[in-house]
Amino acid sequence: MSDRANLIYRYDGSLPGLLCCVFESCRTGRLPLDIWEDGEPSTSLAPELTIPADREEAAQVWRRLRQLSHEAARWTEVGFLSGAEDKALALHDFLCEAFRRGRGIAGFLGDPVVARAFQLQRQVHNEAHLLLEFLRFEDHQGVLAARIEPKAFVLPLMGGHFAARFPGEAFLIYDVAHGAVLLHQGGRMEIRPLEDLVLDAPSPEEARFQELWRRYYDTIAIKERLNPRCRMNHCAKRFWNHMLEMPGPGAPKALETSGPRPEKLPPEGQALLAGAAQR
Amino acid sequence: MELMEKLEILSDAAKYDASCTSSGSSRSTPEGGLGNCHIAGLCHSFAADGRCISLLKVLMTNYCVYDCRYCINRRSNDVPRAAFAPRELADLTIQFYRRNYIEGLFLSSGVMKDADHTAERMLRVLEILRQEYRFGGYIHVKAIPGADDAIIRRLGLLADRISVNIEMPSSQSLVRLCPEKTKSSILGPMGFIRDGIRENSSDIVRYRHAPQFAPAGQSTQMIVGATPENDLTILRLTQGLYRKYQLKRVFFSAYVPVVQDALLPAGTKPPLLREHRLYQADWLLRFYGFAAEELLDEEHPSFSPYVDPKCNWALNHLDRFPVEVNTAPYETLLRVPGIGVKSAQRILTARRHSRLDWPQLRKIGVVLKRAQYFLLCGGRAPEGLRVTQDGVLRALISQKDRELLAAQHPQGEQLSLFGPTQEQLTREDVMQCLTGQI
Ligand code: SF4
Repeated sequence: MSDRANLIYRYDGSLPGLLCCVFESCRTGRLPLDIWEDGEPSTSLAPELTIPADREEAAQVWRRLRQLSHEAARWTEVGFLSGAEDKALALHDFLCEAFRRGRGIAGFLGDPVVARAFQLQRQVHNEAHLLLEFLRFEDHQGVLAARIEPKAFVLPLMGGHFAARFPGEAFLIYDVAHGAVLLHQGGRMEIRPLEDLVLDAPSPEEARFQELWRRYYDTIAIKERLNPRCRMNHCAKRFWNHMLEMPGPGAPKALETSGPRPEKLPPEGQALLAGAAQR
Repeated sequence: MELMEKLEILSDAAKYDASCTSSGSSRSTPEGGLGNCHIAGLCHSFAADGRCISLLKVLMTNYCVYDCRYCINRRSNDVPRAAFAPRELADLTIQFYRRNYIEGLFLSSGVMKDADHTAERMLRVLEILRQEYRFGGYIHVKAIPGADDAIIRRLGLLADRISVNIEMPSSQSLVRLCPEKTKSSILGPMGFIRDGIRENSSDIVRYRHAPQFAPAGQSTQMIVGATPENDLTILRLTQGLYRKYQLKRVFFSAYVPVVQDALLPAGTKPPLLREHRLYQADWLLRFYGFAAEELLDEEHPSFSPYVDPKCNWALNHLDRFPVEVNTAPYETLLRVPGIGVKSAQRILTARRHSRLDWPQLRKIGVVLKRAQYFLLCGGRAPEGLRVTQDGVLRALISQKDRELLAAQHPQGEQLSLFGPTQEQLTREDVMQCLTGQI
């Protein structure tokens, strides 16, 4: 495979869909200019080709990939969670390259295509790891609820950590940016789409723990050593919104939303919590 | 007293302790309980001073019968006092932990009544956490010097890490500033803990699944800048502690003048650059195969304020450089300024496949800013490497060094060691010049 064909793939935005794009490229021996999701507006005059997601084809590509390199398969899975714009094309090119080079593909970091795939999955992993540390739960009648706003869709990489740590807790992590929620309860875990999650104001007891934590946070810094830059290097500002101890405009509470607050949760959120509370 | 007020008093009193890591232990969540430990540790937040917050770091009490001169909790100091009830503190730890604020508890204490009484109250907290809550998160506990061995043993069996602060870098300073403490009251428990940890690897413990004694090991901390010891003395002591007591970590805490005392330096800023250099040197002792005597000697007993200890060592041993990337043994690569453990390992892996040239070296992620002055690739220096005094200096002095230096010389003192001339110099000239001046 050498030069790119004057062609743009359309796919359904799923990983199997992308694998079918790879299938197509391997079959025809040409690489597309770009890969767009269905519904994304056209920004090019190049002809488009819609690649339907075919389970058989996808499974075949996946099987071969795993025979080739477990690492490459893992990179693909994780890299696909990335929010980067070039994600689909980058992973497509990486897989085509993997099938061309064969075993040991993950070792060719000097190749820009391989390097990009490596970088994509590393960024996703890093963000997931930081959120395992910076995420804050709030207790709502025994259910722990957290809100995150990641660049990548990291929920699938986060559940295991908390499930192992809190096997007896019912908890939910709401991803504001991707409109999805991870639910855990009694050893079961699932991720579901969710438009919006509005919670009641924290109970007095919950508010007291938040206040204790804030007080602790403010006290523990040594005034003679203040170093705001160092703090920012370690904990980027974009995470601060959902960290109740961090300074900010009016230091918003972790889960308080702006705008008028509905009396109660919307039915969907209520059902979630009710389900979670009946342990 | 309100919990809020207690928490403020008892975390305020604990904040000068430098160690707050949650690393070194891997525990899985106990049956029916909550919490586990990751071997690498996690940092849940960063305080306004840039330090990681991993654990709930508090004192059991800041009442103290001792009168250590440098300590904010000394008996003769007039500060508000408080004490946690064991259950109160255990509950708070669990509530913070559930909310993902912390990885666990770091518990130290002033000495209330006597050492045994204090240690027993701390033990009670650990028992509630581990036995009642079945808590598997991280616990770092301070052994109270003078407490009964049996209590320290029980603390160690419940904690992940246990430590005794050596406090001062020499026994003279200890006697002067902590009149009621002695070297042996500190080293005694340190030896006892070492022996407890050693037993972990004995067959009985391994095969019977007996609880491990402080699986994350033992650490200590000393205060730097309150007493006259030089860097060489401190580094030698550190090396001795690693060798003799098999410590996992030695922490250094830049002295913050919290109390007025005729015996202490007054009104100075905490010596952050010195603390930073000590940590760099400590790293070289632990992971890079350096000995204290290689980094400093009687003639040069202090670290350079301008370059890090490894750079300084290299500049003093130019006869050993440059080294060839393709053939130098691992230990030699580790001694090249700018090359860390990761880079050295990457070089080893990469050169198994092919001979390395400069672009490849860059590609595998080796940062060349400093290293380029000390390396050859296939017998050649990097193309177009311009060796000017300013350039070399700029490369060798890190951004962090610069900031720390600037903070200690706020008058805008010249950081450039040389005049404004920028003539072309040979590599040798620059090196000689640097070694001469620094
Ligand atoms: S024994 Fe500890 S708490 Fe008490 S004065 Fe000495 S250093 Fe401070």
